[in-house]
Amino acid sequence: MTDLTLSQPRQGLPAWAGRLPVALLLAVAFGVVPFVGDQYLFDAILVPFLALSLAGVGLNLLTGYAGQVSLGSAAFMAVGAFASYNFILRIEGLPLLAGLALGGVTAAAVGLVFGLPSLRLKGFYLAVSTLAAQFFVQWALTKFDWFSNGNASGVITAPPLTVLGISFDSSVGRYLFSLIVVALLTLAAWRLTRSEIGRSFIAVRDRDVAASSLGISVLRVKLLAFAVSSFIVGVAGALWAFAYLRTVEPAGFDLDRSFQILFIVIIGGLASIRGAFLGAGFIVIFPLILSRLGQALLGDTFDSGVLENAQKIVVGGLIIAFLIAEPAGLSALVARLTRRNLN
Amino acid sequence: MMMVMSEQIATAWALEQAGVTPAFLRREEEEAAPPVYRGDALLVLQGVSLAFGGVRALSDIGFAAREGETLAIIGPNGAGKSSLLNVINGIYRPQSGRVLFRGLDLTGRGARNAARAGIARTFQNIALFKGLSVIDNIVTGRSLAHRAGLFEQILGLPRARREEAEAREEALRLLDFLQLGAFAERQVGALPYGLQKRVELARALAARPRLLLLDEPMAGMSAGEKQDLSDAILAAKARFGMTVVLIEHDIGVVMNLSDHILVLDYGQKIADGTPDAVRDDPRVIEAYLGAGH
Amino acid sequence: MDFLLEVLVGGLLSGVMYSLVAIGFVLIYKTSGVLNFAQGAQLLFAALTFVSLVEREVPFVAALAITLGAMVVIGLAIERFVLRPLVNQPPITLFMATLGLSYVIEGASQLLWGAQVHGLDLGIDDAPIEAAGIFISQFDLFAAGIAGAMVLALVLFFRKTRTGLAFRAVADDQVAALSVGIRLPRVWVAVWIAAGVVALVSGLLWGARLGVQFSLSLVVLKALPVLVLGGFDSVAGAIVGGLLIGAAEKLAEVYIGPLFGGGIEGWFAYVAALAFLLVRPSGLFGQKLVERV
Repeated sequence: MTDLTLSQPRQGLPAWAGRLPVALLLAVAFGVVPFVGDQYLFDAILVPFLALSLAGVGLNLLTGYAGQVSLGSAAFMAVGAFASYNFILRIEGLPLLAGLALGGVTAAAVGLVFGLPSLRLKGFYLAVSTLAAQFFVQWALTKFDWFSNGNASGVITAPPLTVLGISFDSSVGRYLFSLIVVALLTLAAWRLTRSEIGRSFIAVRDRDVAASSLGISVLRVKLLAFAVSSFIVGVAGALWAFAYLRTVEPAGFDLDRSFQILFIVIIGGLASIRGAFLGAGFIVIFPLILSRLGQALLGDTFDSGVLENAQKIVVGGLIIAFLIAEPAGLSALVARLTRRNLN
Repeated sequence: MMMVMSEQIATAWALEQAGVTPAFLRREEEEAAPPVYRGDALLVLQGVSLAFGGVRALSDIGFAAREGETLAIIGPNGAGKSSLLNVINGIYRPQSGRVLFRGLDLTGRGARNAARAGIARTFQNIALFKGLSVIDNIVTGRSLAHRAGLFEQILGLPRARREEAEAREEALRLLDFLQLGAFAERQVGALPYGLQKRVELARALAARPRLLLLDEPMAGMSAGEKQDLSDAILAAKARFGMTVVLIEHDIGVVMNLSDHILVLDYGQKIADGTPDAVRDDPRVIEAYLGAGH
Repeated sequence: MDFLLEVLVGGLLSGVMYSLVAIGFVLIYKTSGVLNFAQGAQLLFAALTFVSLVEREVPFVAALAITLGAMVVIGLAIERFVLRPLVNQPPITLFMATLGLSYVIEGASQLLWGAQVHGLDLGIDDAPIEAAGIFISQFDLFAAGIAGAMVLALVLFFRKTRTGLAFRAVADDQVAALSVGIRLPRVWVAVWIAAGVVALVSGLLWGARLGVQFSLSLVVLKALPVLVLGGFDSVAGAIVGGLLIGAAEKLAEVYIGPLFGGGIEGWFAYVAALAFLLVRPSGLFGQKLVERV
């Protein structure tokens, strides 16, 4: 593996200084953005950014920290979304947040089942076997219309976003709702990576035989990683469905979505919570810039199909260029830049 | 620095032998080193045979290691030494034979069960966790002491906090003990080889094992580094009172450290006894000097 | 009974086509250690280029030669601009790079030739013929024949030629191969070109079956369970695995599918491969690798 350097407290600075940027960012996100942002910013950029970041955090726990590559993230997003939808639909008076949590728990349970092959398979064998989750879940959600309350094509519609009597059903409301959920779960994930369990994830990833020689149950660690990761990815899926798209069908959680989440993790940086946000920012904003740029440069000379294909080439090329230039991801780049500025 | 350290440890060891604990080795009263019993068999192997595919790695190996002794396993390359260690801590399951540790049958029960029974080890090719700092590697050695569950750890509930603090304290003590304090927050991958070996020893000691397995702890070290590590092993034994089984090529080191030597050649036990007895054994001389090696 | 046999033969024949795609993966994996996800895009590009040329009145043989040339150029470009700069990166990074590559190739194919569906007629009648009392699709038979010949040619190439020998040396041990003077980039080029040829042949066969369109690149998803079953590094595994998956899938489609209301072909192969591995963790031909510790 590459140098999976975890962020270290910078020497010569007090511990709180390292957390200052995060505190500042949160203050801006909660205190400034809601007042200055417009609908486009919330609906088209920030809400999908937050949901994808959370999915990236979830997958990073599994792939970056515990070293188990999954190509089925979108399936766990779908399970989270559809399970939340059904819990809220079918249990009278169930609070929204409880519905989200139950959706996450369902995703964790499904993740546990599809994580079982990890006890025997490694590397690409495991990665490919997680595709079983991807295809099976998508098939089941489309096939059995019970999951979508009888909708023939499996489409579900978001429940009202109301927590403790406060409605979040506006652009800024959906943004704040996502922000709260993502901030809380990210904090939990960050705490996890600093705990004994988080260290055992890394131990199993780096040297599984040495880990078990220390009494760490490799089996338990792997399954726990699948469960915790799937929980977070599942809640991210529910956010994606309820706060961003608001009507969603199983096809919205296809293999491309899974690859997208994996891109976020790789481009952001493996084993880095911050990296998931950087990667998600890249993935959300970059295509917007590209299509704006394409329209500005080429105008209406070409149809949308041409533009779409050109965009595909550029995105693919950039991914390759990025991997060559910065294999350790954006978080390593940022770490280098901040270090240089501090010294 | 190295020399200073080795002197310090040698002094400490001498003092401990005399029943005096120097300040830098003193521990809490309830954590005093367990008494050393010499004589009871702690580890017994009976008729262990191991093969990979058709290749015989170990043939009918049997021996006993007494509580508190240092047993060295020596032999030419490919004699099956590492395989034997891997059988002892349950990584390999032998085709026949038994591994008894403290009367428990650990045969093929896996490394985790061996660890739970009180066996810790280091590896021939250093097996540190590259993504963790030096201190976190050592803290990981205390994994078995953790009882707090997922939510306790995420929420930082009292039990999780207490266990984390205890593990960290123990790791700090070991860092001190092995003169690694200056490197606590460094990434292990960036350390020189000799220091990595030392971190791995600290990680194994963090588990407070009854039996410590060391697979070529001094391979690739300079004479000075070897001396330092020998002293560290002796000091650790004096302090923690565990039994040591080690694989080592340097005969000088072996003679200096061990009470008991087992000689393997082509997967067979060819000698088993005190250093003096083994040194004069004609079969051992043959294996080391004879044609074909 | 005849019906069962018919289904089985049909499954085996389409299995040969799975094998062919899977072998494209194996070639790359053995030498570069990467799961080349761009294989599907290469396949699409080859089929699309060929069919577009034929539609533009280019003679069959010339179109084949031009497409082949394009595949060679692509292979060279991949080696030079993707693989070489990423040497020594972890497998997951390389995998991501091939994903990026598949975007580039997919985008380029459609930009170049448009996104409409093309029919591809290789001049083979799809009418079933009767043999030994059962009906078999002529096209399936033809496709299986071509795929089989292709597999045989590859096997001969890697057994009998110098490049093939170098390939096997690299697959066996990269460092050792380098030390005896094998030039790694040259082997890579040869292998990526070979994979391009495989992509061309399988692209034409699959294109004739399914129509040449974007979804052709998803044929890779059919090959992946074959690889899990047979091993990413085993040509024999790819062949037998393809046959098994092909047969199992067809049987399941006919006998199990109706129980679920159909549509199970998307995931059945994966679940079948996993179930097989649960019983036999080392796969079809994989040796149980003993990890050195």
